Amino acid sequence: MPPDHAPGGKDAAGLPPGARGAIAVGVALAALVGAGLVINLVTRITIVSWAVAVGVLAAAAAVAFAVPRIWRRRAGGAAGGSPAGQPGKRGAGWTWKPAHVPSLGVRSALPAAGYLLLALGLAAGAVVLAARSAGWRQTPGFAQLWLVPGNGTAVLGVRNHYPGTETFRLELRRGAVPVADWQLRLAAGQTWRSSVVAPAGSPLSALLATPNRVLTVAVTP
Amino acid sequence: MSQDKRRAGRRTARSVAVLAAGVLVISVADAAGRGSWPGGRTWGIPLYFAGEAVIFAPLAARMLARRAPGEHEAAALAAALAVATYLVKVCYSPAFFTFPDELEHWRTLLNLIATGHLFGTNYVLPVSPAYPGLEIVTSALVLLARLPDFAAGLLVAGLGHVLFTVALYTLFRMVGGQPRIALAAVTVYAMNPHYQVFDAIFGYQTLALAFFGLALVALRAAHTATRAAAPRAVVVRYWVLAAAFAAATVVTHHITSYVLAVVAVLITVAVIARGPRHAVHSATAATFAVGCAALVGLWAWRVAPITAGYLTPAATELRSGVGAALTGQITHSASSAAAGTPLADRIASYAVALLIMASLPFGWWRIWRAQRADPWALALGAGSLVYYAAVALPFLTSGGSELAGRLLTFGYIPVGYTLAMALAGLPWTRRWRAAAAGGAVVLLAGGLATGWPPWWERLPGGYAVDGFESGVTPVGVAAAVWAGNWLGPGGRIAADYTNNMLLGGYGGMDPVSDVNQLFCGPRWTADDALVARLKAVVYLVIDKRMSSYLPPTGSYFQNQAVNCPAPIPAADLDKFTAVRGVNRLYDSGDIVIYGLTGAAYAS
Repeated sequence: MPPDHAPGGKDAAGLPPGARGAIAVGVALAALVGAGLVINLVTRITIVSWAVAVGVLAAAAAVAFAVPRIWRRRAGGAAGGSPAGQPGKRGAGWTWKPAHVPSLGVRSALPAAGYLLLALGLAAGAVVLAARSAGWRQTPGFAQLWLVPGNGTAVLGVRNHYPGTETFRLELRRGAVPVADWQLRLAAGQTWRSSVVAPAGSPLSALLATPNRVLTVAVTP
Repeated sequence: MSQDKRRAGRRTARSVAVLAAGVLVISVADAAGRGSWPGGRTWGIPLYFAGEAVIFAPLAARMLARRAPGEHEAAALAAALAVATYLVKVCYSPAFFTFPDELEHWRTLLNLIATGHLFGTNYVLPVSPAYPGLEIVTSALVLLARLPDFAAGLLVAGLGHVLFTVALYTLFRMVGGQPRIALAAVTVYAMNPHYQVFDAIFGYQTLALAFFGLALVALRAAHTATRAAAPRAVVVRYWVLAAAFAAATVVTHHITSYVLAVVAVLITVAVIARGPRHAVHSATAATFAVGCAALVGLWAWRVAPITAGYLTPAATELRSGVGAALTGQITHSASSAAAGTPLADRIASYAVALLIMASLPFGWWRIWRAQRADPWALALGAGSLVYYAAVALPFLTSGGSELAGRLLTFGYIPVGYTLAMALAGLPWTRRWRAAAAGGAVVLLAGGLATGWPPWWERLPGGYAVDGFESGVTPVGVAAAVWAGNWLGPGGRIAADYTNNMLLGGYGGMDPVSDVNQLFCGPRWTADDALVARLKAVVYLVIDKRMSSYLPPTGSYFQNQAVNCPAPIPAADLDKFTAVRGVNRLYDSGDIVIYGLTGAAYAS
């Protein structure tokens, strides 16, 4: 294999450039994990406790970031002169030294920027297509029927999971004898409920006629 | 900006655009699987593989080009690969949690947000609350940024996936010394069966892998700084970072933290073996390794004692299988699931295993020749031996294929590095580069063939009863949501695999194991009643599709000790209506839920 060019820019620990960004993000996530454990010990995990915790972490990060830089700047100022682009003290007044601003090379970055924009568009298109097509699943609609006994009563319910409005016929029976029936016209996603008398030991059943099948429930409270 | 840098920038941006195009091709294949385009589920499959090839092609091209990738180009391509592969997983499941493991962790998150406390109860994955790192981070997004659970979960899992990949690239770069080697190693790693989907879902291992990778990077940096007698502040900084990431790993996932502790110990042994001249380095390395192991043990003992019960069955089965193999009694044969695997998938899986097993010795030789002074390089080379164990696992235990996949999540790290070193040792002629390209195709095809999702649900949109995510349908989700609202959390249920996951995740119900026999047979017997009472089953969930479809995994239930005939006769699934004391509470056509009331449900 032809030799690579020599690696450059690594620090004393051998970290390549760019690794520090990943480490910084990792530290933030690890700090969140630690903060969550502390919150759980002290109080409950809520929006308020998280807001306080994140505020404390952000303040700590700002202090940890700023203190070494202030220290270094003071050390650099004591040694004489001032960095380019910074106000410098000369005699009784302040002078301004213009900083060197490197050329951005915008025109030469256009092709790369174009490719990156294209990549963003392609990726966004992929996700949008996936999200849209997720609703294309070819499953037939259905309805839910339930009869849940309670104390002397039972809740009879129907929910429509067909794509459009449907009409259902619902019949309630006590033993073998029909005692009530309904014509239910429900929109997609709509629920109908009714509480019925359900004495202990008296069998109750319900039949629901849907477009493609008959659903049944039966309880003996 | 120099001419070379501008060209490198354009080249990188062009490669990123090609990766994005690959993601779009796969999204079209997924849409074909879901939609009503004629023959979509047929032509979608080759389109899917073409999309994967498009994603990996730019990396292979840069790895094998005469002009090596630069520092920033290689790092950018590694990061772009992570983003592209994560988007592939998002396109597969873009609307809500469908992977069974995601449902399990979503339940832990829901309980955390509802109660405000960690370490609650999760009936569907009891060990999950004991390792709450993932849910802690996700809850911060849900509560502070007001994101829906699914969006927050996607973000956290995506961040974990990308961070882990970047960390791996960084580690390979630090050990290998060249961007090309690092890029090759991370590309090989990305071809491991679980990388694209299973290790990128909303699950605790996804975030733990990120902390694990960063811990390895910090550990390597700490070792380097210590050995180089860097300024004390630098040395301390990296040891502290390594400790912080190790602690985060321990809180987030059990197996990942165990692997980290083992790696720390192995590196320490390698450092100590270098001799007494490196006493300071050895002492700090040993202190870290002992501390890491102690933290792992302390967490498992004081916070997560449930871990032993969770891992013991798999460990016991593995021990039995290894013991049987050592005494020449290999009795496990391919499961019916493996028997249904398409021929092309099986050929690809054999080919990739043979290629890797044959290529690793070249990597070992290259590492020994060029890097035997580096304990990390030696450890990575030695660690690749685990691949041979992973290949043997499916022959030792019935759950061997799944165990092998889990093992390869870690095993592919040393395998990737060793194969990258083998590539670095090749004569750089056109013939060898073409052979390397062919090897990359085999690696990719083999990884996809043995990876996740399994072959029957390679494209989303189809239905397979109890076929993991392809078994999740609106009917099942609606039943689970209804149960959570009307039956209350914690109700003990007997159901098939998919409905257990849904009812546990959406409904907070308590799935009972080892009750398969309740679903078998035309009559409700006294034995059935006894089992139901002993297991305190309160609700029976019957999915009538078990009478119409065969399970692609070979069983409708998680525990295959008692297997009903497949498909289960429709009359067998209707027997409960006639049982005294059983209430038919819910019917949606495909799913019926019965309530078992006290001692009256005996035939």
